Amino acid sequence: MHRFLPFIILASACLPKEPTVSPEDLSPSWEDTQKLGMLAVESNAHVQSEAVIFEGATIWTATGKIYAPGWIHFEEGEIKGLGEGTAPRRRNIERIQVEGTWITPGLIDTHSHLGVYPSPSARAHGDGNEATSPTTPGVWAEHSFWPQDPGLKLAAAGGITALQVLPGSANIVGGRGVVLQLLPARGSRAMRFPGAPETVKMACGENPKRVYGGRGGPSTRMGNIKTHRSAFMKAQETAKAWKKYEEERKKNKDAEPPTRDLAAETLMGILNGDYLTQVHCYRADDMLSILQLAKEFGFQIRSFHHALEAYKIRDILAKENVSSSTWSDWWGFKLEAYDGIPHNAALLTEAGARAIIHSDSAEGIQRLNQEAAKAYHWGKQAGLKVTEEDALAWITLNPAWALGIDKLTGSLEEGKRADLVIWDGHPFSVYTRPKQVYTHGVMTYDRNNPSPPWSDFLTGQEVTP
Amino acid sequence: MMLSISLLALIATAEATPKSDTAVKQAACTVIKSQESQVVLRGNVISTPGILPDNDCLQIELPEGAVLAPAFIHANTGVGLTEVSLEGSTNDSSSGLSGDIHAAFSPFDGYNPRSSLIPIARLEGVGTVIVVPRSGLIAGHAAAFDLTGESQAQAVAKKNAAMVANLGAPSGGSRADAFYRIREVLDDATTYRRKKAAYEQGRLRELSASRLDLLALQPVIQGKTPLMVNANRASEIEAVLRLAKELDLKLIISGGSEAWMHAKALADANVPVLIDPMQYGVQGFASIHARPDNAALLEKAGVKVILMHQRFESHNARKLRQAAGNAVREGMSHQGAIDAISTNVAEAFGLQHHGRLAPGSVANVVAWSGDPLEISSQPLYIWIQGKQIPLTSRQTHLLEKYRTIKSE
Repeated sequence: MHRFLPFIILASACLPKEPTVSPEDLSPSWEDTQKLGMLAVESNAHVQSEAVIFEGATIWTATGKIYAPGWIHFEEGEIKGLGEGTAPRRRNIERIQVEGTWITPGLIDTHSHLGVYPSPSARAHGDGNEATSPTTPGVWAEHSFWPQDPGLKLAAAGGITALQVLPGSANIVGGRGVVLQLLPARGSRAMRFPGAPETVKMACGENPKRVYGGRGGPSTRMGNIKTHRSAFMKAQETAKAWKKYEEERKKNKDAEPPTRDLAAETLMGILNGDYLTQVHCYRADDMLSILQLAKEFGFQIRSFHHALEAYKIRDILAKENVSSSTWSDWWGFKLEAYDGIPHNAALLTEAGARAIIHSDSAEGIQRLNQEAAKAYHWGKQAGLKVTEEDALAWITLNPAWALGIDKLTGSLEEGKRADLVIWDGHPFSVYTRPKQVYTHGVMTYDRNNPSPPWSDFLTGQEVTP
Repeated sequence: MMLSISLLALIATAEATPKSDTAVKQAACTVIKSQESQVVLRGNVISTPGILPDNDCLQIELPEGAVLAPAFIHANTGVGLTEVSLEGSTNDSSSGLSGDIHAAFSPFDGYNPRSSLIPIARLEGVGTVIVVPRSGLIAGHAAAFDLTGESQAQAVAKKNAAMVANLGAPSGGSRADAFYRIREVLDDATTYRRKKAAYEQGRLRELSASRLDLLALQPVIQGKTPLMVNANRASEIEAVLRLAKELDLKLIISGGSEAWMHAKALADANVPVLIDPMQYGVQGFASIHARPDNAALLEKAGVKVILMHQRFESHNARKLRQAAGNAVREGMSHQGAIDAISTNVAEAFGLQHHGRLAPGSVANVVAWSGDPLEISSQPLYIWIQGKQIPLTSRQTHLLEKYRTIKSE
């Protein structure tokens, strides 16, 4: 009914809202030159085919409001209304009774390698780390992303509607991440979350020094930070050259623009505050080093990823308005993960810092609700001030903020995108499963009507019991 | 002078110990009463209620809704053999010796009963682990330990619970290599048994494994010790079943992503299967047909299912009950899932006195605030070998240390 339509039929149905650059505009400013990399040849083909109203569910909005029972109406991919009790009469809209279910915003994962380290695990699938240099700001995760990763459909079946796909953490600056809406397409460009800003992956701590220690460095934490600072100093120089050029251009239309530099373009996006920095860090002192780096170069850290020791500096993270994307209970797989505790998210929340539960795992992304539930109960049982609504925000509104899409999704509010999950029970129970999942109003999962594989890899390989 | 020193020591200890540690009471016998059942612990075993006067025992009345369960058994883990995965000096789970046959490798000698992983796994109801060596075609012994956190001698429940083999995951060459190699080694183990004197006198052809390895394989070829084989692809499982039948081996399959495809054969051969019910993605080409309801399908076919969690299996051993809960979510029976992390594990690995709340069993017992598999539940009391265990870990100590922060 609301199932996504085959993209082949709809390939021309909706026009791309992509940045476009006409030939006569070429190289006017560095921001515009950047858009050259954004030109799309494929558009998002999914549209919600008919309006729908669900009634009778317990609706958790992630804004603090709970409607029990309540209704929600969405149309053309947008939430048109929601509230307590039964929906106002509307003609020609199907009203579906869903008593006994819970409706939450669609889940959002700030840290995924789906598509760049896709399943099945294979040598040919290692597209996540451009481990040829400790700084590779010029690479973009979307150019590694394999849209046929079978893990994508499993993520949708777990209630995911948006995710950030990141390069790995081998590099000090790993490259650009990409924020996707979870609607299948033939290429990553058409899966880009409309309106999401650019994101950049950076890393600190053990990984870069382990990977480059024997290959010219950095081989220490001090080497890591030096590499960060050098990269940003170089980007500042390039930014200066562009600024000079743009001033000259006002006087002279034929002024020669600086040579384009993909690495600098990414870092300049951070320096001018347009691109959101996503920094892989575990230890509290490493995070402090990165916060100092950000102060030195005048930019903001949007989210620390993994951040297992964020609880130790939660006062500072709250003050600096930096979010922490963490796990519920992973720890100890390396020394910088040794002090991870399952109370991390609850402690951050209690201190007024923004906590996020992320997956970094093709398995974890299928059950982000359980991961949030575990972290919530650890906090609650330890007597920390944390509510179920807080915990819901860890996997909805807070990750939306970290990705710069919180005005568009992450909570159930009129005018926001219809990204939502209908659960067959309390979302924090281990036994609960999504019944249906909608991304931009398009059904991506329906437990009662299993759809064939999205992935071409699995097509023709299905075996049923 | 003496007095003040000991007083100082006392103060230091008191400060270093969180309050909850002191709440634990040790008793020679404990009577635990829930609404549904009553369990008596005497020494380190579960006793029959009323067989001795229970009046002198420590009496524990559980709150409404509490559930008593045997402490869970995590099979196929490295708890006690690893502290920090990426720090080689803290890892004892694999033989570093050359060659692919390590049958004589025993984790017992490398096991650390004071590992920080132990209290963390315990806090989620894990009371016993079956630790396994990792490297080689034949990796060595799987060994069972109670998570008492005391000496090796006290922790060990069974040194030789299984012999671990990695048939299904070749690092090079063909899957078939592993089969011909294991046939050769097991055949030589038989030759060694029959012609031990000739071997010792140097009158025998060269055998394909060392003397100690051939010795360690004797209980395997006699069908006494199970061969635990890591295999995921259906065809690997089929081939392993054929091998076990041919050589009359007692078998356990571990991994089993596609085990549901041979559910009937596994049930008929009475082969227990260890699976991770949370890993049903297409992890590799050997698990293209992985399914979320693998456990449910195997249970339905009558296979003895054992549930485990494999992703960072040592540090995440705590996720065992979540794994079992997810098996139920995907169609397994609740009792089946509980059995799959208690009695079934004990039976498969020959731990006669584990995994049950029955008189005579080792007193590994957890009192839960509710359904042990549900995320909202937590242990109220934990006893391992009859000893009440404090509900703390290095992680709860870190929590207390950082519960308040002094900002500048």
